[in-house]
Amino acid sequence: MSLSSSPSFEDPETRIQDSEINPNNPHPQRRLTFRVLIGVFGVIAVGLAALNILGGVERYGAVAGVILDLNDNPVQAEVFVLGADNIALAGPDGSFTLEDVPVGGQQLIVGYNGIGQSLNVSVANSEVTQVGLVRIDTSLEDG
Amino acid sequence: MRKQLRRLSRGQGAVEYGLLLGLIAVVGILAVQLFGLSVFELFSRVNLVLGEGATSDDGSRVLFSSDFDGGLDDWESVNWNRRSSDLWFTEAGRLVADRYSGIFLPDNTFDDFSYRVEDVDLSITSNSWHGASVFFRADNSSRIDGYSFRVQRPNRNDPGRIYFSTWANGYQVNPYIARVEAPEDFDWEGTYDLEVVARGTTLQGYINGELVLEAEDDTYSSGSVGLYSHSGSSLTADRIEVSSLP
Repeated sequence: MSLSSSPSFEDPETRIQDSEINPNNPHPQRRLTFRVLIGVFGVIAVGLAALNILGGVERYGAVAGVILDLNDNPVQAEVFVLGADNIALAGPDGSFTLEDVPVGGQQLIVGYNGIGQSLNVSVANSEVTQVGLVRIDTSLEDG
Repeated sequence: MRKQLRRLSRGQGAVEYGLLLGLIAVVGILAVQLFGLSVFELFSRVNLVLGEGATSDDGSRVLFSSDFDGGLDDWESVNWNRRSSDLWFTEAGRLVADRYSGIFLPDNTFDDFSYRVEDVDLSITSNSWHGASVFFRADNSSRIDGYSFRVQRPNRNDPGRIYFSTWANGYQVNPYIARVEAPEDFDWEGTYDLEVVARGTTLQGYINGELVLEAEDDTYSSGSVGLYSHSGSSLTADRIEVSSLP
């Protein structure tokens, strides 16, 4: 806008009336800026929330097998994977099924007599991964 | 136009200020969660920074310490292999932990730190396992998850050994993270300081200030501390200190 066409106190038709200016907020554009900021942060918040939800969806499978000692006798040991809460107790025949195991490479721990003997397994989504016969040394002890 | 201008000229209300600040907070929390640091951990770190302990000359800060003069109210029992005993107490300003007994400091979380147990005296009480285990980055005293730095006196046909072990659901995971024989000239009858330094995935074990074992492991990144006396031994210690790293 050129200086000649800008509002003038001399021209009552084009100048902004004093009564339209809020003395507490002489910059009305701030309100618009505020709303834009609220909108931007709202969109970011929704996006991050969606990423959190999608990222938090874990996929699970199961691991099954039979635990034997070195003489092929069944062992009622506890079975779990490192870092997960779920624990399975093998039955009298040594068989176990550990459910709700996060997919991917996991360290399977067979716990007996205070010692956790470990083996690596790869768990597939919604499938039961068979690890077959798992032989542990029941003579190991600690205390 | 005038109506719109009048409406725009009302300025920001308290609701708008609140909404904007609230959204900024929500964005911050969600971003922290998304990028791997929980809000609880963040607040814990802030609490540790603002918490106790003066900064020493090397830039480290004491995060927790106990000389056992005030008793053991802050501690709870460690359960090892479904066995636990409350045979720990203080005597003449020293911690005493008899066989199968240990203490664990609940409700504390440390990530990178130095944990030192001073003036340890380990004596044999029966023909079994003679050792002291320093638990760190540990959780759940009833079924320990975490690490241990263990000093094992010569036992039966085994030489003295020093270990780093992983613990999960109360089981000591085999194979160990690292294990070495103790130095031949180690004075088992004397007293010594045990120290663990955990920095990221690097674990270091010291005896009397000398590095004796170092390993890498990424299973646990934070947790609390404890101390355990094995089944055939009794230990006493004079002081415990957890410090931030310089």
